[in-house]
Amino acid sequence: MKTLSRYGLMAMTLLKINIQRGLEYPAHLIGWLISNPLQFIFGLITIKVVISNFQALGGWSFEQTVFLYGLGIISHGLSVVLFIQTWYMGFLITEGELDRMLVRPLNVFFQFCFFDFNFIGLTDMLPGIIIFTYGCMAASFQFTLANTLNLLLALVGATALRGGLYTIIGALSFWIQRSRQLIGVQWKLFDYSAKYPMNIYPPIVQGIFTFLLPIGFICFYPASQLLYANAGFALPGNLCLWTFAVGIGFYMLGMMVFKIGLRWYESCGS
Amino acid sequence: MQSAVILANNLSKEFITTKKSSGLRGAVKNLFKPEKTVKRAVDHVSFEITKGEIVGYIGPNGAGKSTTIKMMCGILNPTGGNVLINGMSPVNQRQKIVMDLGVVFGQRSQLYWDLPLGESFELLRRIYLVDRAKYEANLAELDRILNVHEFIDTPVRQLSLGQRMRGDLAAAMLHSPSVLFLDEPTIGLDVDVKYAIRKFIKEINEKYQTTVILTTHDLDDIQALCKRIIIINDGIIVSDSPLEELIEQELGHRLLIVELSAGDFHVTHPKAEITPLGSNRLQLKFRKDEISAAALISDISAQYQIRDLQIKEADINDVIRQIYARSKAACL
Amino acid sequence: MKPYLYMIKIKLLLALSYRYEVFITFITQIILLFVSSFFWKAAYKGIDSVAMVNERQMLIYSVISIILGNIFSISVEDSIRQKVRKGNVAVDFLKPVNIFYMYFSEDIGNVVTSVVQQIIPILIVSSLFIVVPAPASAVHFILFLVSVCCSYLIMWLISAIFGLFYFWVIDIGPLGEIKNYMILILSGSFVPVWLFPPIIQKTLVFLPFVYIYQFPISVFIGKTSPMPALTGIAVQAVWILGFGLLFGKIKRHVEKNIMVQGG
Ligand SMILES: Nc1ncnc2c1ncn2[C@@H]1O[C@H](COP(=O)(O)OP(=O)(O)OP(=O)(O)O)[C@@H](O)[C@H]1O
Ligand SMILES: [Mg+2]
Repeated sequence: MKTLSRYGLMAMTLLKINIQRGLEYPAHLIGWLISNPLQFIFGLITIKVVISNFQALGGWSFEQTVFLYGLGIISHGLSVVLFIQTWYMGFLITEGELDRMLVRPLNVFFQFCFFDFNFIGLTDMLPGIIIFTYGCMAASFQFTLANTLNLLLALVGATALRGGLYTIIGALSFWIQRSRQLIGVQWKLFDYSAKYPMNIYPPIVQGIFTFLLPIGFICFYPASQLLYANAGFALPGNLCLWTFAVGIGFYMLGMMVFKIGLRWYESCGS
Repeated sequence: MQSAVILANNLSKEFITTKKSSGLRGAVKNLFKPEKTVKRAVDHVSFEITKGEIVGYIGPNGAGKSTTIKMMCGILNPTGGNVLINGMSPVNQRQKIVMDLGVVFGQRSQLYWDLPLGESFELLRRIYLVDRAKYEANLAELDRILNVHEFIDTPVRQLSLGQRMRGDLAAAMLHSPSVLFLDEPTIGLDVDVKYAIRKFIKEINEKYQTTVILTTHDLDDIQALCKRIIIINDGIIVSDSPLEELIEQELGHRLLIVELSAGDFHVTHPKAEITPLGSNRLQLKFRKDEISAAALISDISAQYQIRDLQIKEADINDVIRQIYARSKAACL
Repeated sequence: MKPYLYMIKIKLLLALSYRYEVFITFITQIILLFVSSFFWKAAYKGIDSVAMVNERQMLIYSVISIILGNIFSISVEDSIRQKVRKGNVAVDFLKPVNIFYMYFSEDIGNVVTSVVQQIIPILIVSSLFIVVPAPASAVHFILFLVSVCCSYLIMWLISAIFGLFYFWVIDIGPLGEIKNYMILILSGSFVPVWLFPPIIQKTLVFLPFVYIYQFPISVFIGKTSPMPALTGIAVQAVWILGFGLLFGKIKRHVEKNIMVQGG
């Protein structure tokens, strides 16, 4: 308990410090405030244009797709704020930043995630919330108690799932010098998986995204349950709960890979 | 035995590296058959350091100094042997050990680049759980020697190298650790800052009995601070002894330079080797155990009138160079 | 010519030694390829053609667009940005070669590399699993090649102009990013502009974006026939001229500034 509150306090301090640092470069901040939402707006335009010229994709109407998209952006934003530093692990290792973390009496993963706390991710959150709110209204999503709870479970799960995957890929840089590119791959994958209903893919691809690399749980399955939309596969049980479980599972897996990587670093150096 | 703050026992570290060949053919070769080489950076190193010592850990580039320090503070795990800091092993009790450790890598800063120095201090205060009263007191004390208040509100990126180094040293001492590792703390600094840093190390050592391990290429640092030096070359400790002893055994002789009033002289002495330097200057090389400097001077002044004289202390640079050269020869 | 050819060779060698990165980039491209093909297949399900483009043409559109994306990955902007940051760009400017030719050679080197490493593999994978990206006819193909060269020049000049901006504002931060998003959406790189509402289409005709991706690709798939294609290439030429002049003007200005302030 004591350590928990200590880390909580630390996180607050670091948040404060990093906001202060961010304000040192106001031009950047404004740039991000424009460019990040722009990206999502363009994504939305794409969906709108295609659905209005063609048809509902995989049986998902525009409104439902907006809901899906918004949900995806929110968990993306959260995971960026909490875990984006794992993307730079390779860089931090080669720059010797890791050595410094190792001589501080704090958990190393915590330092990775919070020492350069990235509140830029919040610029993703804002459009995410707007898009999601619009999606909720347009797709007439009911904020009942059960729905709200499921939504929260799904968000926590999706954030943890993303965080876990980021960590696994980031931790690869303990072994591979240039793992930055892998992050690009994952980025593309997430980008697409979040934007479109997954049942437009052939069953084998959807199977991979469900059972092997479960990115379908990030927003597709929970959204399909919350909106009663076509999920392609008929999975048993509460899909939001599944998202939560899969997310926590992947987060723990990520921590494990990170620990193994750290041990490797301690035995090999950079 | 009780007072051993640091105890290294057959500490070894091997690095396995893949050699990258160049050119198109090399690129293809790297793809299929990477060449692996084993580098033994630290090789069965043992020493014991007691509380309050200042130890100079020196050696040529690539000797394994930084690697040893990294193993002592838990950044790297040893391939063989072990090290105990305050009785604990950094391999499995790192967080506990580093609580009582200060580390400065001269090449890299641990301060926040974009923030005023003071903010980094505040952060460290929270990391090391130093309560405010103690922190204020420590900071005042550190400031007295390092004068950090001059730039405490300046972003670290705008500090000069010397200011940054002073900041880094203060940052490493804020939680008053009992052991301080300094890896090249004076690299690239001017005479004044070097002096301030030496003074700082000396004072904290006297005042708090802080144990200091210092690596440096500036032997003046060593001469000013360390009673004991450990010399490592190619991963192997080649010497571990008090500074004076080392000089004594390496250079048994000393030099006396005299300037005589008369230009015309024929000085001879059975216990000194004499070389003339210019028209009326002489260099006398003698061994301390055979004749004292005073006796030698009186012998000479009995024959000629001495206008000026000078006893040359052995130059530590020569000593070290000699040891490096010898251990290199031993390797071959 | 020698130093520039050497630059191209260096680039090739460098790229070859980054085997791992090559592979990873390729994987990304393949993901992109399949995702777009599934996307369009889902959109076309039961629909014959939209805006006189059928499913097969649309699939070819997306394949060619991915390939163009590879060709258009231009590094001049980043090179300048890195150098300005590290403060050694003035050194480059004072070298006895025209550094922009140097940057250009570097980028051409990149194109050559990516033809070998990415484009050919992508064409193979696409032919095997998705669609054989055949041009509408030989004439269409030749016109396509010409217009791609023009597109490349337009893209390169835009990048170089942005690169020059870094001299004024040390770091324009995500401004470059914003530009990239604008190009991606407005040039029809993923969704052709002909699906956009008519007003937007009409406006975009007067902007350079559609001439970067959509125009060459629609020549390739035969949506644009040879005569309008020639007109389009003429428009591209006008844009090249415009951007070229602008680039020259800014470059002279920057060079003068560097001489004065020493970078
Ligand atoms: N992470 C690593 N991987 C591979 N080899 C390494 C690594 N770190 C150090 N080495 C090698 O180990 C040897 C000792 O390096 P170390 O950094 O300890 O030397 P040093 O005594 O600190 O030298 P300097 O005075 O130059 O700082 C060198 O030969 C170096 O190349
Ligand atoms: Mg070193």
